[in-house]
Amino acid sequence: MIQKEMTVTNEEGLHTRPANAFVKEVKAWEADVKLTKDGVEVPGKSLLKIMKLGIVTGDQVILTCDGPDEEKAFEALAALIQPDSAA
Amino acid sequence: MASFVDQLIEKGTLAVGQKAADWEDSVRLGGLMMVNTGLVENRYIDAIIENHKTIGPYFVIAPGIAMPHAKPEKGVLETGYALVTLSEPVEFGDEENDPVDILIFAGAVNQEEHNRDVIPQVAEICDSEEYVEKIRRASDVEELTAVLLDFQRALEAGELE
Repeated sequence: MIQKEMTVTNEEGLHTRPANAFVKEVKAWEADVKLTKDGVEVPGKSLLKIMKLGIVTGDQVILTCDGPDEEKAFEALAALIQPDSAA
Repeated sequence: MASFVDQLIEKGTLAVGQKAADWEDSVRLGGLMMVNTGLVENRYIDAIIENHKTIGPYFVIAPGIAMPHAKPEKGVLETGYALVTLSEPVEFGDEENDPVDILIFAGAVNQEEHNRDVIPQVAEICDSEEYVEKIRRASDVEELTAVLLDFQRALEAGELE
């Protein structure tokens, strides 16, 4: 399992369109993905539950990936949360 | 800030069992209510339609539910909402969630308010199958208003998941 806390630097936060892109990416991997904000953990594949977190730029979130492809999944998803730090 | 439900009721931006020829027509229909109540400028509605045509159905968020919105700078005058149900569902081109018969319009005066307040409130009701079904079944604005007030009560009472 890979778990890391990070600051959201995506300029638009994670509102509908970026959240939709995030959910699509989650579904592309086998790993079980979770996103946590302020102690509330939601499944990464649920657009509505991610929307309910109300994530804006500068928020602290915890990204958790667990499964056979967790490293690659984590890398791809972290790049959506922090696009400027993507390799 | 007024809640999603209070705002909808105060502005009266609710319409039930509307007929729309296609997705664009359904967006125009609800958009007009927002323009007429001074929430957004006409160009906000044009921006929603243009965005959908260029980037696809980004605002179809759950089975049968669309949340038409665009960026605050596209002509939002006051943060607000509109809710429209359709008598016949329309296709938005979203394989997973088509056809759509509930449209929840949103407009926020800035990005932070959009993400932190507007989106979570809309997502909250969309995430409740029970209330979505009640919205779908409401036969007039009065019934829809009662459903929304009951949702707000349940939310505040912590009865929702």
